[in-house]
Amino acid sequence: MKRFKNLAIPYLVWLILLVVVPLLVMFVLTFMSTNGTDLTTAIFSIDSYKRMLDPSIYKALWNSLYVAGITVIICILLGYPVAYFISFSHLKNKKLFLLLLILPMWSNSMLRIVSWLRLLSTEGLAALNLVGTDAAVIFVTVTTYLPFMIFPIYTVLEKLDRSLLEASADLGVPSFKTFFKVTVPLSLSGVSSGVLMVFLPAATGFAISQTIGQGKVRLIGNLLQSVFEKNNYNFGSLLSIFVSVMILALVAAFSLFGKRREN
Amino acid sequence: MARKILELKGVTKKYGENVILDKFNLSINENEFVTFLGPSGCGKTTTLRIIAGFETMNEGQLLLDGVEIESLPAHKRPINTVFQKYALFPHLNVYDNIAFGLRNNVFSNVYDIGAMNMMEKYGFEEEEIDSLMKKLTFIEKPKDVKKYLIETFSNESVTFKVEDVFKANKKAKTYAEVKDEVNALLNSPASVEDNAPIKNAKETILNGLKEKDVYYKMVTAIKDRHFKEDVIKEEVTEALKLVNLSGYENREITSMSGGQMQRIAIARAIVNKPRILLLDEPLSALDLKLRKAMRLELREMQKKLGITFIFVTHDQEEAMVMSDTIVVMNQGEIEQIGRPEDIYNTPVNRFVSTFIGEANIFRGVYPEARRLNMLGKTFKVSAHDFMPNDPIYVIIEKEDFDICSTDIAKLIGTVKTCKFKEGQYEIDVQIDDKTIKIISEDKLNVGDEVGLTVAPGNIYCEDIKENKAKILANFDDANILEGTYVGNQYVSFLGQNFKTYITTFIPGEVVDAVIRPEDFDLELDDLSKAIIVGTVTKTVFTGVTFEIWVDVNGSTLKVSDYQNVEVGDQIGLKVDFYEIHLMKVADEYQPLEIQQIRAKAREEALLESESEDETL
Repeated sequence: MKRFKNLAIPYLVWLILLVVVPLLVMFVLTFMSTNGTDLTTAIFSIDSYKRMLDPSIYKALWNSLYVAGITVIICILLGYPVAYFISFSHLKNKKLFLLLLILPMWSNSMLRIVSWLRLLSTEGLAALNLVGTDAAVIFVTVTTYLPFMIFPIYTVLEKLDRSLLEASADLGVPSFKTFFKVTVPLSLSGVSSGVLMVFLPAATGFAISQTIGQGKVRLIGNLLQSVFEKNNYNFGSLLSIFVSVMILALVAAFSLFGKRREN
Repeated sequence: MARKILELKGVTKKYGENVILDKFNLSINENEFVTFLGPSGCGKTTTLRIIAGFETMNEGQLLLDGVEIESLPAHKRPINTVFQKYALFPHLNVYDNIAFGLRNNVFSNVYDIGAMNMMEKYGFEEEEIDSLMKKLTFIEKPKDVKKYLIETFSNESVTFKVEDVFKANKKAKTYAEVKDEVNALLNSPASVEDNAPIKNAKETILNGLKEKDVYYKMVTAIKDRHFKEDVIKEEVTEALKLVNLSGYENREITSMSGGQMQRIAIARAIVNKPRILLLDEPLSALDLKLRKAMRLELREMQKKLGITFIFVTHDQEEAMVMSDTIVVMNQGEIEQIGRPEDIYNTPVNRFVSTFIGEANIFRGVYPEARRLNMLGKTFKVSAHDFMPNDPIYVIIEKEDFDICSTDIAKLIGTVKTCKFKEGQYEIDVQIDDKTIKIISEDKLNVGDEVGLTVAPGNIYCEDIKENKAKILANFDDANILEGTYVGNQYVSFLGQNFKTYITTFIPGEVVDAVIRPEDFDLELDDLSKAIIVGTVTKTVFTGVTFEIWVDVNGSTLKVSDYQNVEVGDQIGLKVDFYEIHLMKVADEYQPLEIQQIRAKAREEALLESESEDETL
């Protein structure tokens, strides 16, 4: 195996150059005041840290968690039954149905978002004044990320040993109770990876909130984008690191919760 | 007399054009160990799944205690299954797995069980418990059972009645005002002074009553919100004890070995107190050593629980060792039903004889303690509970033959075939006119001479005339007559001597003579040609044959024949000597001398085996 070790070197270089070094640069930048990325005029400054006290940041953070949280809940409620029915159906070609589900994802996501904007602004729908509301942002986020919820759940349900359900029926438990006592607990691992796969992009994305939200729904992603657009790399770096840490903490808490449940 | 518990009538199962079961008829008795034996694809697992309720049938009837259960879904049948790969819930620990049925069953009988346990604890009469349990079986929901129990017990409880008296007389100040009413309810007057304040009197009397009133105690226990879990805990602990896994409650399923999972699966099924336990090739995933141990354990468990086991296997040895009755199946039909020794001794057709012949089953004689004569040789065996010269049949696993050089070998044979299968060689060895199957790591050349030995502990012996307490499926409504073995192939019952084919009882020994109704022949013309003469008391036409009840000197015989007779007629019966079967009867029913002879023989056999153990 030893000679294959060398094959890992390119990836190591990749990681160092494109992950570790930028992170370090970002960390250093947070303590400076620079003009863009021009380090020649850099001076030491903790202005960025002072700006972190601005309540608009926490408003945006809260908005992100709120939109992503609701999105995840809706995705579970919509995605679990879809995965369940496809997996437990007697269809000959389950794969075809899954293919239909991911078919829209073959087109560019930006295109889909813009199409939704157009759709929501058409004459009939415009009267509902949906554009620029939380509801519209959440709706489009759900349509974008729903497949990411369905797939992990479907995979777990496919692997679920059907004899366990027979065993439950054999022990006198009717099917609706079996669903909650056997199927749900054994598919939670699929749900939890679905949650991560939906929550992370939903909380950090900015395209949907910007396009559908029309600047009225400000998420942490929008904030980051606008800061970098204004060439403020120092505050941008700090905010990026802050968001990364927040997400890391969330993921850690989530997996810790999952592990404790398992024990 | 054995009672039918389950009947399959004309069961047909098709998958498209493919007929899996074809007009399958079978009846299974209570407290019987039945094995469905057959090659893969013979329909045995499908039959089991139909009984469990996982498969529907295209035609036919499924009757439990005479009641149609075909329309009941699996979760409503009092039948539990041990699955081939156990199907234990990986997200629950051992305790929760076993408690799963009791907790979640919509018709959970936790309260029934709890009430029964308590009544047993408080020393109620068996009849009283039974009558309550019978009433409870008509109440479906556990919630209603609880309500019914509380109501019934409360009505019996003196404490509650006295409490009611005090409640009805809230305004009373002294005990004197309620004294008569209270004393009318009590066996002996309460020792409370008349002028005592009512509050104190109430407390004294009720506290005194609560201590002794078992009904009050039972009601409080049932009302307790932990009652259900307490009962479940008791039952799970009991079930774990039965499968020898006490103390494993909190282990994770994933940390258990195959043998342990097997036991948990059994415990999970039997804790629900099913009428019938279905076992779908449960031993196939275990290694040989464990498999052999589990066979005996399952057999013991069935005897201890006293419920019907239906066991599915393709392994002939397994079926022969474990079963009361074997149902040999092939291509969706029953080839033969019978006791293991019947299947082996008198296979009804070529399929049965070939299929059973694939197993290493031999006829032998037990000449003396710990010896076996088989294939013209004498072997040492570890079994020691036979009488000298008992005919026995012998089962040896293919894996248990050891190959050795011909000069020290017990058996010498010629290699007939040698096939490679799953990492081992399956070898047929011809010894005289018998083919033995063995398994070896090494390849042997066809035509070579090979020597074989078997360790004494690996020779399984079974008494051919062993008394199975239960009457078996094909002996369903046989006549069982108490008799005495006269000696010299004669047995006496109904006040007469009859010739029999069995030679192995001690003269004077009490035996059961068994004759099937259809084995009798009627003799209507010349009664002097008949061997039994009796009076007809009743006849019933079953559609094909007449069932005739004949009174012979006060005992009733059941006869089945194609011709009818009139009630009150004198008729003669004939029966061939080989159709009179004799069964061993337990020691306690034997005359004293026979008991002594049997005990002595057993003791000698034991002593000899012990002395042999020392020399080994």
